[in-house]
Amino acid sequence: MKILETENLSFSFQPGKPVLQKVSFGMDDAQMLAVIGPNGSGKSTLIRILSGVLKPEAGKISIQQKPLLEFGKKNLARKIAVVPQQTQITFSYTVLEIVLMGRAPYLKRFQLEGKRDLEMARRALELTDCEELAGRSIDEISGGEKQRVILARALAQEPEILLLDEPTAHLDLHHQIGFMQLLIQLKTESKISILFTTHDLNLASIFADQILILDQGKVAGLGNPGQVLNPELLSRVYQIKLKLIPNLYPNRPYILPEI
Amino acid sequence: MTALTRAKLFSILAFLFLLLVFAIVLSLWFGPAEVSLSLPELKRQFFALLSSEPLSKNGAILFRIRLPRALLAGLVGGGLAMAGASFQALLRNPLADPYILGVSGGSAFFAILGMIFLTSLGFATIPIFAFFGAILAILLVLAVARTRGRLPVITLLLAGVVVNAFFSALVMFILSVTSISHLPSAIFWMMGDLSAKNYSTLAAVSLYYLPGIALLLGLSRDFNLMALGEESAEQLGVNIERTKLLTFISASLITAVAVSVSGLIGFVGLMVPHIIRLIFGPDHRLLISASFLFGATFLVLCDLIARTVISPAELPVGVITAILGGPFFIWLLRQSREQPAG
Repeated sequence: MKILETENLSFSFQPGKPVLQKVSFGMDDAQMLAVIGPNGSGKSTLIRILSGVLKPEAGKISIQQKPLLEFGKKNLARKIAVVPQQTQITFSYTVLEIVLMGRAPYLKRFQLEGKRDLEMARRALELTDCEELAGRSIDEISGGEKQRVILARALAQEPEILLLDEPTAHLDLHHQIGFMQLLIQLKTESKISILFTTHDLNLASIFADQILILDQGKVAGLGNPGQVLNPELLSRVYQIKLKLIPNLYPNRPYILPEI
Repeated sequence: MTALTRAKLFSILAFLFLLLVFAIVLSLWFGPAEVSLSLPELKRQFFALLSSEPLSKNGAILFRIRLPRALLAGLVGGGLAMAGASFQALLRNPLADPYILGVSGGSAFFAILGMIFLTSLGFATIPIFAFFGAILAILLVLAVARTRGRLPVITLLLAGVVVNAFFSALVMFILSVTSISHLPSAIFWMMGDLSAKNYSTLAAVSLYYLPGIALLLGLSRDFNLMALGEESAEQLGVNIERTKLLTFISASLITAVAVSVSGLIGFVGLMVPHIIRLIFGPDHRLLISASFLFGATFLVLCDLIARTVISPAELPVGVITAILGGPFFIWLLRQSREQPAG
């Protein structure tokens, strides 16, 4: 059974200008799927649709074979957690307060967080290596730390699926790799299925189990890195000449522009 | 640092409530006239008030003038502060306030229209008029301020100031061309006035407040999630459009009622939530209710200053709040400019 599956998903903001066209793909349990494609290829829109923020125009999305639209907002938030590219937080909450917000889908309207909620928050902080930050104010910490805190908040939701929109775009190399290794750990230890978008083809090649290539809203390729990353396809999609060289890691090619 | 617990929430609220009671007692104590009552006499006068028997001169000063005035100050201050905290959460902007957003101005203009055209119906209908004005003003401000789908802080503030000035001018225009004696004075409309209210007005204010306060308390956690951004809030289970709509309506209603009975009192909704956040943190499940209690205390004390500082003459209470609020606003603006734009 696929944990997440889409069938002929289509979407447009304006009539006649489709952002996504007949996108079909599926994700297995504890799988890491990278979505790549040029700017405007529909990557972020895909995440917004999968998280229920935008309604698809046509096509189906199902989570464990149940249609996404049949989930209430709160129930959906218990299945799927989202880490946006950047989070602007308005007031000076502490890191712990931010992470506890991930428990909202489990609380009744006037209910405060209880023991279990605190425990889940602590565990999420531990997993993301943010324990020492718990009491700090969110606007005092660095960008890399903040992205980990937002991930901790998402993990506090106890999701089965994690969607991340260019999670490493604003991080330096150290934090990029650290963040990706953390995702791998979540995948293998907590059995969370992970979908992330990225502009870094090599990051996708090294870390993803599957890669989905979007080009102008259409699926241009889907498969494991070794299969799907080929120079002709990528050169066409990105409209530049690209070369692939074998990597240290089998079936994970390294992509270089031709100059 | 721990999370918000029931014990912490209630002890902070209890503390703020005691502070409010203390402020009210202070404001009964002080005033242009010396009032000295022995404790038994005080008690006798209080029960005379409850059973609508005639009061002594001192008793009347205390229970027919100072107490309703202090309670009104409390209701108005509490309402404005709560509305301010809610507008700040809604617009994700700590500089929002019913007065700065022009909501108070819109309320005032429609309240005065109500007073002219519906004189026979008494106070009870005025807040409904003011409510329409509040909604109209905020829609106007948002329409003017929205640039390419976003709400930049600067245009929002400018739009609010302009809308407020516009409606204030309309109020002054009406006051200049009509000679209806029962209309509140220009001072009331420009700087606020908490004097000469009776207990039935207080009851009406409380009743109008009730649905607004209940809704805002119910939305408190959603306000926390909205601080992460509207989309993140939605992905955490918040019905964002409904939350925004209800917040608009509730905060506008409370502002409208407050303006109907007190005129234009600025900066309470700006200062009070900020002080609460500085002391107790930004969690809205505490902030919304704490802002009401502390806003009440704040305005009771401002009114006490306003009526004693140049005694026997009185200052409009808005003079005090603006003298405190102006510099506060500038300080806040500079602070928020030091952080990356939101």
